Formats: sequence, C-alpha cells, structure tokens
Amino acid sequence: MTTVIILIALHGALGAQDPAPAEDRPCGWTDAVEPGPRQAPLVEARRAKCDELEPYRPGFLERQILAFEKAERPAFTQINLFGFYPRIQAIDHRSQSAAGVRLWQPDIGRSRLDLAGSAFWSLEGFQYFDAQAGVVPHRGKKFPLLPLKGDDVFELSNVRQDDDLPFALYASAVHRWAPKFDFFGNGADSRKEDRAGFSQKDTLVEAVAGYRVVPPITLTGRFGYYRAATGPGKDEELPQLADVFDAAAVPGFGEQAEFLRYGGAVIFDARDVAENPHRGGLIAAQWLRYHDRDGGAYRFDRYAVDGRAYVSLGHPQRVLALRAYAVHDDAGAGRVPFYLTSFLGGSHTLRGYESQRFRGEKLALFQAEYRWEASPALELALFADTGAVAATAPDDLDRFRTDAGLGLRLKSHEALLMRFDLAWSDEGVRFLFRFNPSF
Amino acid sequence: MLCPLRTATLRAAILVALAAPPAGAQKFHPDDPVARDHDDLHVPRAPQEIELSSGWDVIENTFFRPGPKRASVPAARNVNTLGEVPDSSWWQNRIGARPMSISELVRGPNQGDGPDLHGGWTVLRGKSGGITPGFTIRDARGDVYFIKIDPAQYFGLATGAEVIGSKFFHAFGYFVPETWIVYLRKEQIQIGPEARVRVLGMKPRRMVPADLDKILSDAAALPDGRIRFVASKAVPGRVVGPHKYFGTRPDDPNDVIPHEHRRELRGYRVFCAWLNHDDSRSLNSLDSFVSERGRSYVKHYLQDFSSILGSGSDWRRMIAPQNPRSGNEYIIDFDPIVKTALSLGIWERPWYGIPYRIFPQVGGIEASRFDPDLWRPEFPNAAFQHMRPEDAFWAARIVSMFSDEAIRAIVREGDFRAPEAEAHLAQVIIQRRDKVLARYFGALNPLGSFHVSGATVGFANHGEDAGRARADGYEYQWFALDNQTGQTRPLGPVARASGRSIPLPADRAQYLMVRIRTLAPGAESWRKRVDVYLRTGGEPQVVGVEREI
Repeated sequence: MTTVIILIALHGALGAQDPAPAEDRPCGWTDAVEPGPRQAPLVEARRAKCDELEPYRPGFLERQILAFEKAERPAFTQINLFGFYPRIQAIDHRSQSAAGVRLWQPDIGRSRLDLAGSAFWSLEGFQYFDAQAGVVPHRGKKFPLLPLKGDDVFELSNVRQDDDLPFALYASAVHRWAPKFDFFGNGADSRKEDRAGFSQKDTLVEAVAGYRVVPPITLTGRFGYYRAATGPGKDEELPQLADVFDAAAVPGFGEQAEFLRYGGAVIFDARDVAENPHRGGLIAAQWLRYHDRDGGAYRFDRYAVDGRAYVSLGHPQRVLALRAYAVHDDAGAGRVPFYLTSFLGGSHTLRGYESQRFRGEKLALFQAEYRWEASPALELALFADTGAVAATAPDDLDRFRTDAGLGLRLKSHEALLMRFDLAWSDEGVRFLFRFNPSF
Repeated sequence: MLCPLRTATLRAAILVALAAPPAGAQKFHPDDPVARDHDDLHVPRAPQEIELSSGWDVIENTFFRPGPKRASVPAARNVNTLGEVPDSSWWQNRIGARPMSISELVRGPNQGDGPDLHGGWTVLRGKSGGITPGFTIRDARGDVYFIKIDPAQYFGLATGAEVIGSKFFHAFGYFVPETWIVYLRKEQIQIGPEARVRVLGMKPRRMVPADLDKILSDAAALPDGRIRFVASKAVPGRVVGPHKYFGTRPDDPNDVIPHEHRRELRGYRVFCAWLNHDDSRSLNSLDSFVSERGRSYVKHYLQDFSSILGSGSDWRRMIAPQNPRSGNEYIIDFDPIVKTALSLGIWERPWYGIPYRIFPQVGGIEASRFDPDLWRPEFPNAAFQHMRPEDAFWAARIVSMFSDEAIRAIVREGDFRAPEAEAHLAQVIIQRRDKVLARYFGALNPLGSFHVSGATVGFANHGEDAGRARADGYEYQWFALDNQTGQTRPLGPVARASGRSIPLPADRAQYLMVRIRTLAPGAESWRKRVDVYLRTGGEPQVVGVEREI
C-alpha cells in the first residue's frame, strides 16, 4: 500500500513526464475526486462508451478521395506504362470516342529534347498516329497539344506564350485514316439533305520551328510533305459522295495527291490567361503553300487570320469575347482539293450547324459571347455565331448563316475543363460537350 | 465520424449535460457550478490515428451536412450553470476567467525558449507542396518542430500570422502548439538520413538536398542572409488525427458531447470571424493521446494559423495576401452563385468593392466592411452553424478582454519589421473587435462577471464597457428559489439600481434569484432579463446565470 501511495505521489510530481500508464487500469479510471451529482451522468456515459469503442470508419467516397490525395493510387490521368498513357478522346469530327495511348517523355535526360506520340483507334473505325521529336512546345509536365487538324489558325501555330522555352524545333509525323467523313457540297448553297460520305487517308511529315521574339509575339515556320487520298465512305447510312455529287465537280475526289507544304505564321498573344482569358486578345496571321507535286493542278496559297478579343465589362466576372476569322485560298488557275478547303460548322465555329457543314476556298466568321461567372469555377454564356463561305475565291461572301445559344462551362483558374453548349440554327438544335474552349 | 449513441446512458448524458435540468427537477446540485469537466478519464489504448481527406472535408460539409434550422438548435451542452465552459480536454479558461498580463499574453503557449539555434537542425521530413511549404526538424536538444517559411516577397505574412494566431487562440482558452519566429542560416540545416519528402499528389520519397533547396529557394530572409522561420513545437503525446466539427470520435470514450453542441466550438466562430481565420477546418485541428498523472486520454488542439488575418493563398495555392472572397463567401456558396447566374452576371457580390489596403507583411484584411454575422469560413462548419446568441455572447465577452494595448503587443510578436504594416494590422484587429462586441453585446442583456461582494451582488456591463450604449440604471427583483422544484417566489417589488451593484435582500432563502434588466436608451435588447442565482448557505455564492435570448 505504501508503495502504491509513493507511486501515485511520483505520478503527481512528474505530471506530463509520466511514462505510459499501466495497461491494467480500466477504461474510465480516474484519480480525481469522484464526480458530484451534476457530473455523474457524463462520467457514467463515458464509462459506458468504453464498452462500445470502435475505430473511425470513413465511407467509400471519403476513402477514394483520401487515397487520391495521398497518391496511394495514381491519378487516373497519370496512369502509364513506360511513359505510355491510356486515353479516350475524340480525334476527328466524326470519330466519336477513340481509345489509345499517348507517349510523352519531356526533357529527356534533363536535356531540352522531348519525345511525344500517340495512337488512337475509334469505335467508328478512325485511326490516328503521330510522333514528334525535338524541342516540342510544352509547359512543365503537361502534355503538348495534339497536332490534330484544327479549324483555326492558332491550333496550327501552337507555340504558346506560357510555354517553358521561347523556342520550339521539332520533327513531326501524323498519319490519319478517317473512314466516315461528311461532305455537303462546296459553297454557301450546299444543302443539309445532300450530306454524303467519303473516306480520307493522309500523312503529314514536317519540321516545325517557333520563336517567341518578345512575350506577346511569336513567329513560326514549317516545312513538310503531305499526302492524301480520298475514296468511298464507310458509313452505310449515308450515300456515297459520288452518288450525290458530280465527282468531276469535286476537285481531288478519288485521287491521291502529294504536296510539299510550307509556310509561316505570326502570333500576337496578349490574353491574360491563355485558356481562360478575361481580358486581352490574340491575333494570328498565317500563310501556307500547298505545292502539288503532280503537275501543279492543286497548288494553292492559303492566307488566314484569326483575331480574338476579351473585354471585361466593369468586372472580370463579366467578359465579352469576340472573334473574327477569315481564310482566303489563292489557287490561281488551279483548284483547292475539296478535302483541304476550309470549313465552318462545329463546336468552334458555327455551333448550330453540323461539323464541317460549309466548305469553300474563302470564308469569314464572326463570333460573340457574353460570358459571366457565377463563381470562378462556373461560367455561363450567351453566344451568337455568323459566317459565310464561298465555293471559289473569286465568289462573294454573301450568304451568312447564323446561330445562337447558351453555354455552361466548368473551369479552373488556368483553363476551361468542360463545356456544354446548346445552339440553335435554321437547321436545328445541337448540344455540344467539349473539353476545350469555343475560342 | 458520427458515433451513434446506442445506450440509454449515453443518450441521457447528452440530454443532461452540465447545466439544464428537466422541468420540475432539482435545479442546482452541490457540485454546481462545475469548474472542470472530467473528460480525461483513463483510456488504456490509444485510438487509431484518423486521416481525414481535405477534399472530403469540403464536400461533406458543403453538400451533406446542411445547417440546422435556427429554431431547432438546442443550447450548448457543455456549459455549467453559470453559462461558462468548464475546463476540459478541449478548453482551459484563461483570459475569460482571470486577467492576463501583457507579458503573459505575448508569451502565449510557449513554455521553453524555442528551438535550439546553435547546434543546427536535422530535417526529418519535408513538404514541398501546399500553401505553406515547410519541413519537420529535430534540434540539438532533441525537440521536434514543424517549420514553415514565407516567400521572399511576403516577409512575415504567413509566419507572423501563425505566431499571432497561436497567442490569441491560446489566450482564448484553446490548446495550441508552442510557436516561435526564428532566424537561421541555411547552412545550419542538414537533411537526416531517414528524411522523406512529400509532394502533393505524389508518394513520399527520400529527401535530397535539392528538395531543401527548392523549399528554401524563395524564402524570406533578413539582409544578413538568415532565413525567417516559424517553428511550432510538436505537441506532447501521440497524434491521433484531427477532429471534426460535428459528432464524436467513436474511439474516444471521453468524447460523448457532439462537437456541434460544444460551446467552445460554436463560439470558435466569433474568434475566427474576428481574426479572419477562414481556414478553420478540421484538418487544422489535432487530437493527441497524452498521459498525465497516470491517466491517458485524448487532448484536443488547434493548429496552423498561417492563413488567418490578412494571410492567404493565391490560385496556385501559394502564400499571398488574402483573396477578397476569403471570409466573405464559402468556396462553394449557392446563394451568390444562383443570384449571379440568374441575373446574367449583373448582380455583383457585395465584397467585390471592398477597398483592401495591402501590405506585403500583413496581407489584406479590413474592418470597415467587416460584419461578424456575414463572415464566412472556407466552407460550412457544423459547430459554427449551431451557434446561438448566448454562445456568441460567451465568446464576445472573451474578445472584450483584449485591450488595445494587449492587441498591439500581440501583433508586435509577429516581428514584421514594418512599423506601418504592423500598426495597420493592430488597428484593423481593434476595429474588428469593436464590431464583434457591438454585434453580440447588442443582442442580449450584456451583464456578466457576477459576484457577491459584502451585502451586494456586483456585475460588469460588458456592453457599456465596449461603448455600445450607456446604461441609465438597472431594474431588479429578488425571488426565493425552491431548489427541489425550481419554483420561485417574489421577495419584494421591482426596484431600481443606478450602479453596477444590487443589495442582497434581507430574506435569505437557501437559494435566491435576482432578475435584472438593463435600462439603456437605444439598446432595447438590454431589457432582456438576466436571472442570477445565489446559494446562501454560508457565504453567498453565485451558482447560476440564465439569459433571455
């Protein structure tokens, strides 16, 4: 008994320095004076809980989020095997979802050299392969832009203001098999009912150089070889192009052609945040020459300009976004192959119309969006697009098509993450779900 | 985290709590008022460490725990009959219970001298991501500290906030880690052989010199090259994770009062609003399994005050002056989202136009547009949402204990080395204090600190002391209380006192009650009654205080 008293006294004297208490003391034990009647129920409740202890069990969703935060499981976008990352995405305007892999090895061996590539196969039978080697435009570990054939100048001249290096120099090869492309005819008078199918296989091998002269101004140049062939479409629900149109009046159909392709662009980019702009603007001007290696029937020069402006209306949460886009192909006495003509229609141009709905050697597009942020991560938009094409360059742009709609976008500070646009036109209503901005 | 209360005993305990008796039951017990809640009963085995998800914390509190209807919020369950919070494993009465000297306030939780600066530091682990990059070190004395830095362009911003916050929240009554500002050369820091580094979203890996270089590459420093650090000493015991602001820990037998019904967690909202602690989330709390006097139990700490006052982060989650949204709107706040969406963006958040005066050292915080009721943490907090007027009053009374001089002295501990910024911050805190007091002393009869002095009952008028209004006098009436039934009997007519003391009645029943109303033009709510109970056996003693809400 004396020993116990001494030990208790020592405990008191040592206070917080006390070693771990004896395991045999029961749960709920205290050396304090037994509680009075006010405290007794609480003490009793605590002693009762001693018999009901159980560990904290997080729910399913909480466990998954925690595992992600602790990197116990790699983020979905980081899953890879030897640098090959599985991906599902659209690769062309009618490809639907395509499964494949992207290879991305930036700054190999701490050098400035990068290696990128990808291979995709879609449910609709589309195939897409590309590879780039050299100093590829990129920022940090983020993937470079896919060199998909775009419908605007800027995507082709993809040296961005916020890339890590002020220059780019790389070799690129792209091969594509598109079995189900649509053709509605050339020019403004094309009709939706004339939709016909064709297939296209093309390959582009080129060298690309870019240099950011001063922060807002970038110059790019490219030189390469392009080969394309078209044939019957594989969509059984669509008539063949040759059944709807006079094939002789569709330049390049059914033929294989080879080109030397070269040109340059100048880009003035003064947007505050490239992929989530609230103010500033961008102007890109491009010249590209397609030099037909089989007699020059399809030789032409393309001049394009893409201007965008973003104006804050009294507060950054309200932005008026404007775009003007124009293309003029100069084929001289020749013609522009139909599959190389510029087009309107789709998620970046005339959103109320089918993708690639209007084709021609000349086009003009004007877009306006009133965007307002309900919160920094949630943006809403009202928009209107109007544009016109001309079948050949000498023709006038006199039949403008117009659509209007509303959009809802989810964003981070740096970029748009998801875009839902609903657009109305005289050809119907279209719902668009994309992972990139309209412009 | 919610622990289902399965036994009748547990359920009864929650209802009985420490003060309110059922109708018709004995009103006061011999152990009233309870000064200490014995929630430190021995727990033989340490609870398993809980890891909470930062993301889930936001989601759960934003989407799955809608706030209570105001009318349905029950009174706090861990207050004693005086309406005070007894000492416990959560709370230690300090400035609210006794005067604290300036030196005591500025010493705050610190017991020792801080980390040893002569023998060098050994890094145990690092963290290169998050708002505040830092690392854990062991000094030459073997003590472990968590170290954080400021970016070069914001000397003192996060580290100063951390130190100031630790002193304020310690003085309030919370348990917080010991925290110091120190200056040390990079060469005095070495990486331990077992050190590992964690980058957000990546698995921990062995720490290499480049990791330390990266953490310190942009650190704020003195002109002589010494880097500025804030060092928080590891709390005693074994860390068993953070606590949530609702429910109870199912593995802690002492934790039987749901956290949203704890007054010190409800009133925490007032303190956080005052000091703009918008990052008052679960992850910035810490439970530790401690051993004292032969008992082991869970003790509850608050930590990480680096994002309070004018310190915050930018969109890259890097230290920067507070975003104007912080303290004004939840990260996800449905009301302004809907208003902005439906008005096509024409409706603007009221806080857009707040003119912040930004100092690199103290960031962005202001008082002119500050409204304690409209203040918001980063996302909903269940305890905050359960706060009732009397909870707020309890906290405001503690806030009122900080004099201008005390506030300036605590702010000086931030060691900003920028007199104008320091004066600005102190002035803003003083102005925000005054707004807190005006708001919460204006809702109830603001009398408190009741005591028996000779043949009178004395009290303080916190509202008048705070300059809210001037009292013309006090209307009072004495009653005899039948403690067994709770029935009262008038002992005389309503009388009036001009000062802050009321004479005891000649009739000395065993229990007395005096009902007091404050008469003050322009402060109608001060007429709400305050009932003060005295036990008269032997020396009269104040045993209970009840307020009309």
